[in-house]
Amino acid sequence: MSKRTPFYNFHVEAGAKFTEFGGWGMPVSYSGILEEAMAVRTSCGLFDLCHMGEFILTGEDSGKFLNRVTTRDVTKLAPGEIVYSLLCTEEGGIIDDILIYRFDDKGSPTYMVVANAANTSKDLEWLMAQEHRSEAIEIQDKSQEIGLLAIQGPKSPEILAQLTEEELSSLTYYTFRMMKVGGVDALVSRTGYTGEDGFEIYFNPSEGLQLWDKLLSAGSIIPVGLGARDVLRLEMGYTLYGNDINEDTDPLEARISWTIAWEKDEFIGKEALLRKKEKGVSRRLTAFVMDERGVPRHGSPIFYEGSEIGRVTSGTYSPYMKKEIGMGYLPIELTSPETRIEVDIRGKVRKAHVVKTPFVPSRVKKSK
Amino acid sequence: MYSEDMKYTQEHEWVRVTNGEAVIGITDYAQSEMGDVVYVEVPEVGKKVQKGDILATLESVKAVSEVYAPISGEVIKVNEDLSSTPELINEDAHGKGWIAVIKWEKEDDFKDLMAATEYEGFLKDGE
Repeated sequence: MSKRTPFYNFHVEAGAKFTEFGGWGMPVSYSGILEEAMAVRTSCGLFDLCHMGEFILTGEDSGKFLNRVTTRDVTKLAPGEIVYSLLCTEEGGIIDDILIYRFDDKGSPTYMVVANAANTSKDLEWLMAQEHRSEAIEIQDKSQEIGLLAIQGPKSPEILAQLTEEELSSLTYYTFRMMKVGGVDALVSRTGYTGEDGFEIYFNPSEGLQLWDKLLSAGSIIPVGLGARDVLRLEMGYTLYGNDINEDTDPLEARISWTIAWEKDEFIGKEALLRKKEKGVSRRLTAFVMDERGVPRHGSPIFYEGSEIGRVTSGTYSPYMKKEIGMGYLPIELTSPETRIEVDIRGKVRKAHVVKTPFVPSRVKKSK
Repeated sequence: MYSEDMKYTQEHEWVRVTNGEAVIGITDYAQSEMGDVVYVEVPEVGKKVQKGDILATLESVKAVSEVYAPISGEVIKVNEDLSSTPELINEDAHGKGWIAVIKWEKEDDFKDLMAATEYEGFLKDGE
């Protein structure tokens, strides 16, 4: 039996269809994946992301610890700032992609790590195993006590503004602040996984169930399920753990090497990744657009001049482009835009061509 | 919802028969289960199909579904509108979202198809 989020009954009431995702029964769609995806591009969508894992790290050495176990330079993070980072194996494989939030140092440094739902227990075990005895650090799994709703889309600032007194324009991309939202104590960050402006709202679900209805009645906003979430992230070329990245892929070939702070003295996986960097990668996660109809799916073979050169890691229909799109690891010499490739969809080979990501222009407001 | 002038299959196709021709589509239940249809692969006109053969393939954002020929015969017409507007299947599964017309051969093929009330019962049992 799969786990349910505290908002399960709200989804049932909203007419959701459910899917199994990372051990959770999650809403896949409500009014329809395409309508939901377009609502996020043109107006606003509400997402239940309570399945995500949250760890709180405290103690004098928590920053030093995070600097050793993740690829980014966490020491550069000021209170109120967030980074996207990776946990890697010694071999440079990706254990998970995470967000790191740095809190105000009241007493001792405190960080929040947000992990993918399916990886939560794996990450926790791995993090605990990396602790050195001499280090003053405590890692707590707060996934059950921290709920997460996201609002994403161009109208999300005006919708959130109706539920909080806080001034939101100074809450810039990848920063967060504590505030009351609809009377509920919440951590609000300007982050997301859709390429649109928006917020992620963390709160105690036992106190915050009313947020669902309050957000939905605050303007042009509809509930959006995981189906549209997948479409939206793929339109941005964002990787999905388990589909596009895993422990057998590394950040260099996955095109997320910008998350690696090479100048750091050490971090787990650094030596292996340095070697890969010096040698140069042989394949790279590459985006393509279908020229013939048919939806590429995870695992569909990709061909170049009749030879199989890779497999689709993610594919979908983009309602914004009105075309089928996808990504897969291709030999480095075949990754230039306009390279003509073919994708086997249900036994028929169909034409496609390589493009740059994002497929759809991002509208997040990057201030830095 | 389920008209008495059509017959239904357990795979959720419908068949509407008029003078030797059978119009075929998927049921409203099937379209609702699939979600947004984004691509429809219709058969070629002139194709001969046996009952149970794959007649068409529907792709939604999340999944692929096959449409099986509920009867044997020759495909004499296909719904060309579906290539540019596959959403017709979601919007009007029993009408404008029809998929193909088959010139049927054997009266016997219709025997095990369900009447509307039977199909509704079948859907209820599946719940």
